[in-house]
Amino acid sequence: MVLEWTNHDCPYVKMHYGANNMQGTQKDATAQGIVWLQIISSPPGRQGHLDGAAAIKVNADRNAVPTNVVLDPDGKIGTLYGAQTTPHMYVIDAKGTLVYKGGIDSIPSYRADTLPKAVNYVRETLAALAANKAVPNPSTRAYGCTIHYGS
Amino acid sequence: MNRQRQILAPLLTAILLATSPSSLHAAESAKTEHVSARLLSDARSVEAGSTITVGVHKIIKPRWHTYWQNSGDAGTATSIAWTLPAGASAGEILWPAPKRILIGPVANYGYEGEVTLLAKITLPENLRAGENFPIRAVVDWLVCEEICIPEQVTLELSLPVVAKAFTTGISLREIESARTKLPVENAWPFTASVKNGKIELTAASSDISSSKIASVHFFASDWGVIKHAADQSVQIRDGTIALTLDPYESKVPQTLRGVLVIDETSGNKTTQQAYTVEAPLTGTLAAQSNFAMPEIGFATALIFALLGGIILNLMPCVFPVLSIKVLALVNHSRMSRRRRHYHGMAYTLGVLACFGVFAAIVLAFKAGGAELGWGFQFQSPLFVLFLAYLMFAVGLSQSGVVSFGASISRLGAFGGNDGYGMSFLMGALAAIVATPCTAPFMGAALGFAVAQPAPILLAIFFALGFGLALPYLLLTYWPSLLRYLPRPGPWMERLKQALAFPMYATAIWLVWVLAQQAGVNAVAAALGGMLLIAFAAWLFASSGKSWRVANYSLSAVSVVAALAIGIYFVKDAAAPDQTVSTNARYEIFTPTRLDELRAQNRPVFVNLTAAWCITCLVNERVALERTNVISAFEAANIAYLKGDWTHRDPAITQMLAKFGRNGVPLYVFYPAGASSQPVVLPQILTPEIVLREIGQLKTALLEN
Repeated sequence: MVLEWTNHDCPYVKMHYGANNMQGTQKDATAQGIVWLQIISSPPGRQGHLDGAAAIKVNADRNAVPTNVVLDPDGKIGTLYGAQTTPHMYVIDAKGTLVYKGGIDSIPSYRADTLPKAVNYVRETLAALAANKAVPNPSTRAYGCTIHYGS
Repeated sequence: MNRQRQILAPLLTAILLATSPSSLHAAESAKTEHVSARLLSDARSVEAGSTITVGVHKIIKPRWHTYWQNSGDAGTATSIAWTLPAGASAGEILWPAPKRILIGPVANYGYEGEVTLLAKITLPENLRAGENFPIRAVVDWLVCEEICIPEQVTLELSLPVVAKAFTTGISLREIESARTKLPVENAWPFTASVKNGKIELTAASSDISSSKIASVHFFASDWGVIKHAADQSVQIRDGTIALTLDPYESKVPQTLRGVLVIDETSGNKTTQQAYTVEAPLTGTLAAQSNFAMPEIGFATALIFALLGGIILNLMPCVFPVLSIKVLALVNHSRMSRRRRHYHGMAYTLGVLACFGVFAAIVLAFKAGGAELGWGFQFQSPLFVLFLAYLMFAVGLSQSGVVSFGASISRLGAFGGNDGYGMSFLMGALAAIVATPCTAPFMGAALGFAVAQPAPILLAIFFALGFGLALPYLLLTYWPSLLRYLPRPGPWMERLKQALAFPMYATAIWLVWVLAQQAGVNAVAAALGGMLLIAFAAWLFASSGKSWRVANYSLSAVSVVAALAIGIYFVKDAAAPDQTVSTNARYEIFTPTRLDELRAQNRPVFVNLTAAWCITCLVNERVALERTNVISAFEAANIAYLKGDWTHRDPAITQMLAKFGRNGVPLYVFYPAGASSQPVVLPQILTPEIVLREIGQLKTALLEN
């Protein structure tokens, strides 16, 4: 299972969707039968906050294909996982063990020109799981916009 | 009139430019929605080959912030891309001290309000007076408040090139103010170490005055070193500041880099000063690697240490001393209850004292940064030699060549009546010979102890020592157990003599260890020394009244000569070269070789051993050198690497530390594949255990 903390207006998130990077990763993961959940921890009134209908529309507009979207306006799930940024990625294996946490890729940037050089850690982790190998980089730097948890 | 205007205009401009530096510079500025930026220079004109300081000055909209070199949990640092004429170069951004911006559980490092990012520009030699020197900076930043906006501006500045000695500097408030906010380098000595799973950073300077300091905060230069949002506990005394930092995760860098920001108040004024921190980080976190030993708590470690100590009584290297102890116990069984207890306590104290000394040595070396491991005393050939002498002398005494019994008891009477001092010495001896037998329980307990602060380390060592002394102590307290011991009689002398042989055997083993460490000459010296000791013993025992003084002196001279020969031949003896026959089944362990083999996708078995480690040798005999194990290794194409820790070898010490261990043996199996998870085998091996571990490899290979 892949968890993706997101905020559709964050420049980092916009870059990864704008360059079709996030959708591509989602597509390849869900094609393998992996469950991909987007989680929105923005509380009402803060950037990124969406209701169900709006979240579905945003995803339709940008051709995002997560398995589903989880709305976490009180930030309970986000604080449990320690999600700090958007995007912030987590991968959980079939046994329910958290095997990856961190950034979507290896170059912290909001500019698409870094994408070709960056290692997509979610892809790398999923490939290692599929091959029954150890996850090469189980914990990496998450980068992006701060998640403003509601208090 | 028109003409006059034409002349006046440039004149006026010149006067205006000269009197108003800011307009003279006409620093190219740009404004975005959230930030207004200007490019500044500390020189109004430049000359060939000089170095100038330029700065990008930002005024950030209230409540918004941009980021420091390490942006913290979120965000991205500002970046500047310079375009300069050929031959000119710009240095790295000089970052003023940042501020911590806390947003719930997330902490970012950045700037609010005004900030100037400085950089040094070095000009080429080939500039000619009269030219212009253009500077262009493309500045990218992410500016955040509730939301984040990436912004970019292009700033340009052109400086006239003048002949040497005609340059004029300029003092700009923005640049000067940024300079005062730059961290001061090498101002204070900083030390950093890992203790109790935290990073401790200490600054020492006579400038530190506890009454003036209002607040202190450490900013790590790199992401992933400390938890940015965690509270930092600060202890300020006159002359020192100590901070306790939460490491980001289970890994810590070799060097702690960052900035220490100190706010000082005097009167109503608050001033801020920042210091560059660059300190080697000593110590390791217990869970440094994913596959390190499971972290054990203090109580568990104490119990393990106690159990390990008890098990040490059964280890082959303690047996000779144990036999003496049993003999002594038979003697004590004739004693009163109270005196027996005292003997038991004296023995226990002897063991504890010795373990206390070991702990002190480990602490001292730990403080000195030396990498030592358990059993390290056996890595010194001199120590091994003296222990061999001691064992031999005790053996002679047991054999009855010389009766030290009475004299040593008298010697040992310093501790009280009836040779409590002797019991104490026996305890100390037991502790010394026990150390190379790393019983299985001890490995984890000691691995835990060495990474701990001094009091915990001492407690673990004492628990271990108490465990070693416990069986004997219990016997002295439980006379009912003593009843099972045979009655004293003439057989005791025979038994005493018989027990000399384990002592001789131990001496032989120690000489064999010495041969590994210091070569053939050292063995000859050791045997010669033993001859002298035997001679001394004979002289000592056979001295009649008239010749007593002469005999005693000669005897003493012999002993001194034995020690001198030992020191002379052993001290500087070089270790014999490790010669490995070509048909050897193993290769010498080096971290590089291990990496190479793993990169070649070969499974690797690592055996870390030492000549003085009996457990290691037994494991090799009963498991690793069995034909079925050897053929299984060959069948699976397993590379066998052997590391010999008979002498101190930092590479092996590090390898042990990586697995949370502090002594040999250590057996690790790396399945094929460069990123495979290593498997740590138990410290006592059977062929079945080894085959099971590498058997897993086979199935794994089939599955893939």
